[in-house]
Amino acid sequence: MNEARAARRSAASAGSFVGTFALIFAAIAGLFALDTFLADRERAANRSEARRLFEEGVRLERRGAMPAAVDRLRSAVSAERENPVYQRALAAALLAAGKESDAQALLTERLQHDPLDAEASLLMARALAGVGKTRQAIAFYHRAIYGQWGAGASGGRMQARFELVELLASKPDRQELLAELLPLQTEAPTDVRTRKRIARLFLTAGSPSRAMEIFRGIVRRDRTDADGYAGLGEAEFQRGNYRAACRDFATAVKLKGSDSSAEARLGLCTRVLALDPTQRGLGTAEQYRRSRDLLAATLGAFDSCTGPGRHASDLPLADSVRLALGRPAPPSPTAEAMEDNLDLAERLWRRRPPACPMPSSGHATEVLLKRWAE
Amino acid sequence: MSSPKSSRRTGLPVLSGLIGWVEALRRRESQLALVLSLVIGALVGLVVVAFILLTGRLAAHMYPPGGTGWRRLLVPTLGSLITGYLLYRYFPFARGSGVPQTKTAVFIRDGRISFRTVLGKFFCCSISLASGIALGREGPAVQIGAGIASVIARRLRLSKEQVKALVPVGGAAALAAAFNTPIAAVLFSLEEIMGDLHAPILGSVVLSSATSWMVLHLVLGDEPLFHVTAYQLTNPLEFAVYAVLGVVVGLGAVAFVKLLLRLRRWFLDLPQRTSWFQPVAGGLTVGLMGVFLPQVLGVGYPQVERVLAGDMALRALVVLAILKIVATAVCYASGNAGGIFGPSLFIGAMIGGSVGSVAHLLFPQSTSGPGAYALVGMGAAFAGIVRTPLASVIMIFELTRDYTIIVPLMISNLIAFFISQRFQPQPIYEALARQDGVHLPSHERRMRRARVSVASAMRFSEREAFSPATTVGEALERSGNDALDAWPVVDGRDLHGMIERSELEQAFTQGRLDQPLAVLLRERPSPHRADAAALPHLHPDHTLTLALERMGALGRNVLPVVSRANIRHLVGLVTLQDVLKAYGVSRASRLAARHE
Repeated sequence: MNEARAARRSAASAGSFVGTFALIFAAIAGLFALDTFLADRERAANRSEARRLFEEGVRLERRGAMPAAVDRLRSAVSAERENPVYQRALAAALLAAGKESDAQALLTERLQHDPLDAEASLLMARALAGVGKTRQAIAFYHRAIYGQWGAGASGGRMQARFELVELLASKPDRQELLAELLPLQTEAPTDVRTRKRIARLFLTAGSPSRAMEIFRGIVRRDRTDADGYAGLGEAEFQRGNYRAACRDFATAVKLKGSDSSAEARLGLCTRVLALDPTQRGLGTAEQYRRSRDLLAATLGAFDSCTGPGRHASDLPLADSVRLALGRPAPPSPTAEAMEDNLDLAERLWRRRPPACPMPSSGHATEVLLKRWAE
Repeated sequence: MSSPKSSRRTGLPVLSGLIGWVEALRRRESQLALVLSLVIGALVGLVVVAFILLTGRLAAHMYPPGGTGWRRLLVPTLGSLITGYLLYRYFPFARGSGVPQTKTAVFIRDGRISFRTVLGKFFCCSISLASGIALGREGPAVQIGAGIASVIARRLRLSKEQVKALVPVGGAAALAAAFNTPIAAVLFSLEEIMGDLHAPILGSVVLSSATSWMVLHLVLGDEPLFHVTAYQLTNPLEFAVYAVLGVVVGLGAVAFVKLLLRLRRWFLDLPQRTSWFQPVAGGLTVGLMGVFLPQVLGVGYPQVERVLAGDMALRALVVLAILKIVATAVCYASGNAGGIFGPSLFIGAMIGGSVGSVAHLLFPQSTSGPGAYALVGMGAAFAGIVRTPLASVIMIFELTRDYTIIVPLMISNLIAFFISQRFQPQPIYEALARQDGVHLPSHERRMRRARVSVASAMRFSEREAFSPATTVGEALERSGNDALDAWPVVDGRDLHGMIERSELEQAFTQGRLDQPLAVLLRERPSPHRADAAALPHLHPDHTLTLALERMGALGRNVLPVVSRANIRHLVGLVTLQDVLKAYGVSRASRLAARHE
């Protein structure tokens, strides 16, 4: 009797135990459903709020109200943190507001999450270039070029390439610039504006023949393109074809009289042409006269330079130049005499401190001596 | 097709098997604790996630985008009025933070937290926090979690000890979900609720915290509470700035705690019939502040995130730090439902950001931006206000997942902790409980008490020891008036054993008065000389509590104190009288006797 009662009690107790667990599991299932529903609602509300803030931020940015725009975009990112569009927009706004370090921090986080985000890499490259971290900026430009772009990728990639070569163009290393320009030439669109831009970059990179090729193609298609002729003139000028350069500059000035830059280049070109003793078709006497003029101009440039870097050991050379110039010109000068003058001019030019400013009258001399030095 | 009878016949063994399994599970406490830790972790995690989401949704409805200033005044005032009435009328135990209430449940009420309190805490805090009251959700979450664990344990008819053990398990699970820091939740539960980092429930707490955290991730994804950019130490000079930060935050923490306690005392002294209306003072204060500065409303985590991103001006940081201290103190003291956990982080972030901004202005090349200081300030404020230095370090580490922050964090935290301890000796949760007339066991006091060792109470006198050659008769003669139960038998300091009074008396009745004590000791069924079981003893570094426990278990009033290197080397003796004297009891009783 007692045994049966104990068994019943035990069964009741076990039933209550199991019942409690059943209740707990039912509560877990119910709460899980409720939480999932609430979390979905929360996410949807956050997305909607983030979109509203993003649009407001973009509007403010367009109006130039940068602090307010940054504030809205930051709130948009907080509301929907995983959205790369909002993150990139905020980074761009921060860059525009001059907050490079904040932009860098945000982009670092973005790129940790998605290292192939080309747009974020481009923004990071701009942020780094803005604070003078050129090497790191170049690395991020490469990541932008070879990273993953969304729709309309080619425009972004091309933009990254152009920004990279513009950055490299501001640096002394011409080889690196040329290495970046060559693929750009093949991938870039073929419109005249882009081609001119590339050709000018080739000039900066010290590759006038490639620039000349492009400019020639441009003027061949349009004989009235003054910029094309000016560019062609510049390419010829860099190659040392001063006569052809003067002709192209003259055409450019003729086509577009208001182009003061082409006019100035034409003036310089004419002066160089008048000074260059190595021009074809000159008689020996004329060559000698020009070589003396060049030597005198070089001495003038040397004497005008009194800044640091000039050594006392250079003075005997200047004195020997002065001595040579003081001697009367021979009645029938030889080619050797002209060569001696040019040699002296070159040697004196090399001794001139590089940081020394050139008098404006000496630009033609500088062009010639630099070219020979190369 | 089987008949009902046959199914009943086959069903019975299954049922009895199930009953047997359930009974076995109930008997095996460790297995049951394991299962319950998982179940409580999951359930509490889901409840806390629901609490967070509901509060967030409710707040979004109360404060739609572009809301006007009057709304910011009206909503907290009405919210505090509604919750004030609910708390007064239906849920009196759901006021305030929840942490002292949980500690009270563990230490005083055998782990009992009612289901009504859990419900009250959930709904009142949701309304209160959503309406913009400047309090936090983590403390209430701890009480909700602890309450759920308590309700489950009592419904399963577990023993009082088991119920008490499960309360911190629920608390840790709640904190892991509320703050997304599972390790800090474990430490907080042990350090603050239990007051003992070596508590035997460690395994269960870890398990429930991890389960709850997984549930949080399952529902809400891997979203940290704050998004923090990578920290960098710019210059070693920054360590000095972090030390200054520790001092400033420590003083700020003291100011906050003292203001809160004084205001609360003032509110508690008001007539009882006004207690339903008192929370309105908090709502009105925060509402008035919110009209001019909306950032003061609510727990303010979005503002914390902005400071961490270094996107707040110095003046705004200072103003927000001061206003938040006042707003939180008034809201809490007036009896609103909500905790001080979140506001501590807010205050710390603002003070940290201010110190960082000033440092960056003075030494722009040698210091990081204010964000890093705000982050460290959060940890320091937590250490200064809540007084859980270890949990605060781990919490910030978990938030940032950045190891480099640890050293500056430890510097600031410890300085803030010591300053707070110096100027406000009683920790805030203990002080709050004491204001309610509840005297919680102080962790620090327990630690001090536990540090009183046997070495400080023991003594040794040749007169209280016998040599092995001493006869039973001589021993009886010398021990006649002695109050001790036993004496050491030593050769120099070589302890042969403890001879008990009963053994001497038995030898006397047997007429063995001339027998040396060494013979008596040899007759004992003693195994090896170095066997500790054969010689109950203490070591000098043992606590007096242990000494008392051993004396009680053996029924003796004296124990030998022996070397740890050789238990046969006697260092001294400790008697019950010595222990009482060390605690000051015998002196007090002597004084009382003299007074009479």
